[in-house]
Amino acid sequence: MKVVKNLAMRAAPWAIPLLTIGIFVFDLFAPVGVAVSILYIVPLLLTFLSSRERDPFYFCIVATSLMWIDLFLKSPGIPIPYGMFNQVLGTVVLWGVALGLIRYKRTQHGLVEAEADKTKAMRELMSERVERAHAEGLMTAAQEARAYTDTALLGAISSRRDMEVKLLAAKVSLEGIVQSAMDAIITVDEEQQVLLFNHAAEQMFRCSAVDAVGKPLDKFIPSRFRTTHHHHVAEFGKSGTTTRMMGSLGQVTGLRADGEEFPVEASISQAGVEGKKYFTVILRDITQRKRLEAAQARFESLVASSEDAIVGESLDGLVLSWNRAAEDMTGYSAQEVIGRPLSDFLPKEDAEKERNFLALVARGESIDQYETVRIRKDGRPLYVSLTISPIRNDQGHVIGASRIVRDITEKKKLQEELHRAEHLAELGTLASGMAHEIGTPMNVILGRAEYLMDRVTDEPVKKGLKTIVAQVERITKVMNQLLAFARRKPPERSPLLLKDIVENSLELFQERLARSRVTAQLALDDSCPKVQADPDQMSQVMINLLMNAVHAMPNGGTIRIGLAPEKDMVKLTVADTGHGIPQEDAKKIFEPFFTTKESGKGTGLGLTVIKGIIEEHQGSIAVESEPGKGTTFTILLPQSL
Amino acid sequence: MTTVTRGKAAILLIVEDDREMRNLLCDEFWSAEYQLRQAKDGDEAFRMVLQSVPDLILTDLRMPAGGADYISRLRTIAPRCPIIVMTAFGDAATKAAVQQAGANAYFDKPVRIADLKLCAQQLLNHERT
Repeated sequence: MKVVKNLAMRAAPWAIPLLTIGIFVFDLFAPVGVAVSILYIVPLLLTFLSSRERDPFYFCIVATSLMWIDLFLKSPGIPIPYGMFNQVLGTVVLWGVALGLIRYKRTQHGLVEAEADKTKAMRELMSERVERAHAEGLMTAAQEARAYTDTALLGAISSRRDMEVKLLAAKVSLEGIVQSAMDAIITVDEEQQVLLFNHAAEQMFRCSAVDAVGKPLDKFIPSRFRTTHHHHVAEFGKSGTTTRMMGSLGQVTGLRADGEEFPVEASISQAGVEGKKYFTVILRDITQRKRLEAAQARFESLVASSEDAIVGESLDGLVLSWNRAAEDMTGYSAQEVIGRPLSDFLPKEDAEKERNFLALVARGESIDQYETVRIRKDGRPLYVSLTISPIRNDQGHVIGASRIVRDITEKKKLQEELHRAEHLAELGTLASGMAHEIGTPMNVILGRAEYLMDRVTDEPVKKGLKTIVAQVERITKVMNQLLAFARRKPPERSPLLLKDIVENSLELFQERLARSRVTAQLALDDSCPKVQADPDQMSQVMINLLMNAVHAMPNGGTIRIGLAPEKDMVKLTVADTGHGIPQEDAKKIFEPFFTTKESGKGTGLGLTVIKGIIEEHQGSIAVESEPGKGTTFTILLPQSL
Repeated sequence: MTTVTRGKAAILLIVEDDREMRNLLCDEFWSAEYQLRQAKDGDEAFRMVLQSVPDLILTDLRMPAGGADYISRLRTIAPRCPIIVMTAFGDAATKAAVQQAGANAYFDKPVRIADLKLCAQQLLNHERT
């Protein structure tokens, strides 16, 4: 059956039109009476085999048209109405069948479709089932996956949370760091708008972060520096580097919110984030440091300009610092001294004392105005007053010693002079007092002895009394000389022509010389320069020498006095032709109380005093003598400037 | 008590604070020629001179209320009376001051009493003539 069907189906497409045409032709030639048109049913039925639903419909139209055409074409033979009636009948039948066929086709189609649908549905169902299974499988997998994902998500979440926590922690600590930093940290964007303004910045600029963020950085720079700053930052931004050198703005001036300007040290760095540049400026308020620096500078200049030597010493005695006054005072330069033990530059005998001082200072005590002697580099002595104090560190521990050394050489000189003057004054007072206390009793002794001498006749007694008198007179002489020496006023030196002194003294001795038959010969150089001397004292010298000369020549003789310049001195010679001085005595004649005169005659003080006077004048006295020939005294005195 | 006869006994005022020295002087000058008066210090001497001016004053210098001023004061109340001043180991300055104050003579102790006596005589004679 199926084979026939197939055959028929295959034949249908061409069979139908063929048949249709055949029928048409047949119809045409057939008499009217024969309803050939009924044959159209055959192709019509064949359309049933075609797949298209509407084929019968189309065929119908075609057949109907052909039929009617046929009718009109046929030769008349039968009455038209009969023909028409046939045609109409035929048409109706055709159409009825066609409709039936169409319907049937449709149903079939529907059935087929339904079948197809059913198949499809079945297939779909199948596939659906498969899919569903698949899906279920998928779902399971998906669920697993989801579970996994969940876990992962949880894990991710937790790690994210961890990360978040960490991030938060990091952020907090970073913020904490930034906020707790001692230095001001300000971040700005490319337009110099403040993005970050940490706590230290708030304090430094006395402006809260709220008021700072979003504002231009210029707000914190004094107006006169703004252009420079912009320029610098622009340059810096261009370079793109964050080198220390580039990034160091150095010392700039900041402007606080209240208008106060202050010195800051700044450094700038840059970072690029998502194509944008951010600059971070870190600022340190160096007002304090500047103040310290200024104080340090002031201190250093104080030390440098001090007239007293200031020496820093470590606890083990090494020199740490040596100021200019120390160099000037001692002659040692700082280079020579620093790092070496101070004791190298002190007199050896002071080593022990110095160690004691350091020990005292290490305990925290000070040595105040201790007077001592130092030796300069050139060997000259230096009188100093030391004040040594401990140097302490922040914890209060002694870490060194600070010496202030004051040159008191001048002071000492003055003190010595004052002393001497006082001493002299004392002596003078003493002398006067002494004079009185000794003089009066002496007078009593003398007087009583004389009194008795007048009233006594006994020769031995008289002689004894004479002795008493003589001794008293001797004491008197010594007293006079002593007192003369004690009472001597500070010499008032002035430029003096010794010639005058010589001549005056000779005048005083004129009578004496004549009586002793002593002639005086003078060799006084008129061009002899002046000497810086005290006239009274020079007279004293001359008188003394003349006296000695006369005493040396009891039987007469010659005194030769010479006066001439010698180098930068003036030479005065007094020579006699007396009995001379023996060699062994020559060196002793200037000693106090040495006399060759018989007892009672000389005091032995004359030449001592003379020597004292000459040496005080920065001169010298020397003696040459030949027993039996004579004695020559040579005096040298510095010329007056 | 010596009888005061005109031209014979001169009133001599001895001023000296040291007792021994004063005794010595008194002993030495005790004779028919002098009527002695004594004073121990400058004030006493001044009072006595004020009461009655002596013919001669022999005085020490260094004593209470003494000194060159004391000599000047004496001079004012006894303008013509000769004054002999003694002082132990005096120096040139003292001598000058004393002489400027109006003393007629100056002696450095220890002084020989004989010299003093001589000087006294000279001054009195000078005065008398």
